[in-house]
Amino acid sequence: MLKKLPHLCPSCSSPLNVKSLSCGSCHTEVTGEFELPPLARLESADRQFIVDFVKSSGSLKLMAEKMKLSYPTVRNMLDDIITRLNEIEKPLKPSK
Amino acid sequence: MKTWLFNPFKFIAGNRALLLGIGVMLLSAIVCSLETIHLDGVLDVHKGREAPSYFYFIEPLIDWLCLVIPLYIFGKSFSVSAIRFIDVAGTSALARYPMFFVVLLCMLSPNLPTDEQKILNTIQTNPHVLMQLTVIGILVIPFIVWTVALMYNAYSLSANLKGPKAVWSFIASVVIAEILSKVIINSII
Repeated sequence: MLKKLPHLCPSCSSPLNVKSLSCGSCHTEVTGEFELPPLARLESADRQFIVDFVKSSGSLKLMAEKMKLSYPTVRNMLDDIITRLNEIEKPLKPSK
Repeated sequence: MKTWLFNPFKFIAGNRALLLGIGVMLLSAIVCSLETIHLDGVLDVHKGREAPSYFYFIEPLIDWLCLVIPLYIFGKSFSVSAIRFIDVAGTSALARYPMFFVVLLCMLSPNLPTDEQKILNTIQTNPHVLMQLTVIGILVIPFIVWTVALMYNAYSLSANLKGPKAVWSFIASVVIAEILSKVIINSII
């Protein structure tokens, strides 16, 4: 079963932080308070889109061909992800 | 199925949509020239007025371009996306394909004289003509609504606009296009 990385608190919907990391080889554990990077806070479908986009050398035309969708549809999907990323980054930006 | 009927632009846009749209426009123009049907406005169809054959091919192009230009200007002004002219032009051309069915329905309508007084006389002497016109008028409505829905979806997708901004700029574009196309077509004929 593919586990989904939770990024929002199920209780209050605030962004979740990473508290511990462990090495899969020697089982060393690191604990602390780490913020998830903005990309990890996106939905898995959005993250997959970004991976495919990078693998397509950033070509929306190629992406559209692969996804069997029109160019503006794929461009709109990318623009929607950009909007979501900007919203995620908002509370992360340090206040002046 | 619903997507293909009301938003085929999710799958087809740009050059492909433009070619398909122009293909349907040509087909409509051929039928129009044979039956003296005029697409003399963005959402207008009239039958009966004689005109040179080239005119039937120019009319749908004028209708389409009169809509594309304001849509592209509004799209460029309101959208945060990098919109392409070919997408607005292509999807708007394809969005006009239900007008072909309107033209086919118009073939069934009786030939009326161009003079208003003569039209009244024809209707008074042949009451079934009015009935025929009413039935065709009612049958045409869903196809016009379908065309408008397609035009809006074409604009919304190609300009990446949603909500009130998209609705109001679309309505303004249709009104501008209707006036512009009427003025241009009437000045040519």
